[in-house]
Amino acid sequence: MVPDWMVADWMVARGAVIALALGAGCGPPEARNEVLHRDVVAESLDSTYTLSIYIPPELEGVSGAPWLLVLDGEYGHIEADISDQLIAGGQAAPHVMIGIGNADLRDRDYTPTEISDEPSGGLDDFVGWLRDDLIPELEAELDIGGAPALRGLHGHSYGGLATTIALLTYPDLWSRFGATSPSLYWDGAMVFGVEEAFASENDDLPMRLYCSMGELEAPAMNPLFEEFTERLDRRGYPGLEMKAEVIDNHDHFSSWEVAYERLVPHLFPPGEAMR
Amino acid sequence: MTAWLVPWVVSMTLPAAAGLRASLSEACVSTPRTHVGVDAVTLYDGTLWSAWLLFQPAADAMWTAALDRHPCLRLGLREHVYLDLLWLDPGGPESGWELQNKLTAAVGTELERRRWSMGAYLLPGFRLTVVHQRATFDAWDIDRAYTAAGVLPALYLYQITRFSIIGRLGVHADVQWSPIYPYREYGWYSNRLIGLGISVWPAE
Repeated sequence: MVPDWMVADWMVARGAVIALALGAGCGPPEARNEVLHRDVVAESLDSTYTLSIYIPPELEGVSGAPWLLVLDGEYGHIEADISDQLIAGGQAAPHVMIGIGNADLRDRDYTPTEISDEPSGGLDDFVGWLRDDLIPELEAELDIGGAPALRGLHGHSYGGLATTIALLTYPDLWSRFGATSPSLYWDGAMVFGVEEAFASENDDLPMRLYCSMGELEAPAMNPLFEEFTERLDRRGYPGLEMKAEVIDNHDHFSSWEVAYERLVPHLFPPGEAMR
Repeated sequence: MTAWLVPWVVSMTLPAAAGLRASLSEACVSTPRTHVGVDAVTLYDGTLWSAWLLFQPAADAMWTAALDRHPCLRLGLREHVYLDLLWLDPGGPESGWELQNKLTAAVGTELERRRWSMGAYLLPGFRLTVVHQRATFDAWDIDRAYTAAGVLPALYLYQITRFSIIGRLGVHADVQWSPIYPYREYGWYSNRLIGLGISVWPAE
């Protein structure tokens, strides 16, 4: 079992990355529009989350824009900056980026099963809240999305695990998934059972999927990633547009930003027609 | 993160304080010096996450020499090997190891008293990282291994304090911290922060 401190420190790491990147001026150029922050209360989860909302200039006043929900995204400046840079450079279709997160709750919210001595197993409840409350509210308020084809979900580490489980159990809620450095080892690698169950009942997995793993990650991460992506590939789902890659010279943390740079063009390919 | 800097700043300050009792040039080690160390105790992130993380083997060799005109400025090389065994249970479903080999230049200063010395250096260079992973999950018919290597830039602030016990045999405590750690080196296992070990000074 991977110690929970590995990922519990993730948000701390992100904070350091963001602070240093911005302070050193070595991050992507700052987004053209402001990133908006606000808290939302999930009564059903008895929890509060911070949202980071970025709407690029191209989508101001546009109805039904595609959008990407980014887990661990309460400090979504870097995601916003990268998305904006890719959009402005014509490398990705315009999309809205909405980060959501609460570092104290990620272990609970992003894991699909409960295991002892860790707050865990709350993914179903979390996605249920997204589906029933947050997504409808955001789409109505911001006039974005409105259909699965216009929604994407991205997560890293435990968030990548959540994204992987979500694409197999909620394939009708989103149609674009970015699962980077997913913690596929969780609970005896139970995600492989979820994948087998899905495959036994479905002939297709119509979606755009980007998944990646740092080349220098921790034990079991890369072997399980290779195994999982190969199994998905072997299913031969006709509607699955999957890009899976190992990011050279990067580990679990340092691969996060690179992975985001690469997943956005795959999930929102340039030239994609806006509704 | 600021707290990580404290040991290094203190180590920079103490030699200066020691220098109050003697001129700096007298306190500086001005001869070439070679150090070979073996570390038995390492700490990850300065936090006692898990006891097993305390015991990861590391070894280093460092050679430095002072400039003729500036005896307190020392230049040299340091080679540092760090093996992280990662998991307690190598026979479990997840196992692996990570080997860090860091070859850096050394720029800094070193002060010495009769039984101890203290050096502070900047170490720019490269690190070679080799990782080996294995996943074995019988329930899903998975038994797969993975090995990869990468070369990355490295930069460390490094401080070492050595105490002589008998002749050229002593013990040391060292601290290394990378100012580029969060951006390019945010691995869990890449950064042995504190080391405690045995030092040997070969005859010059």
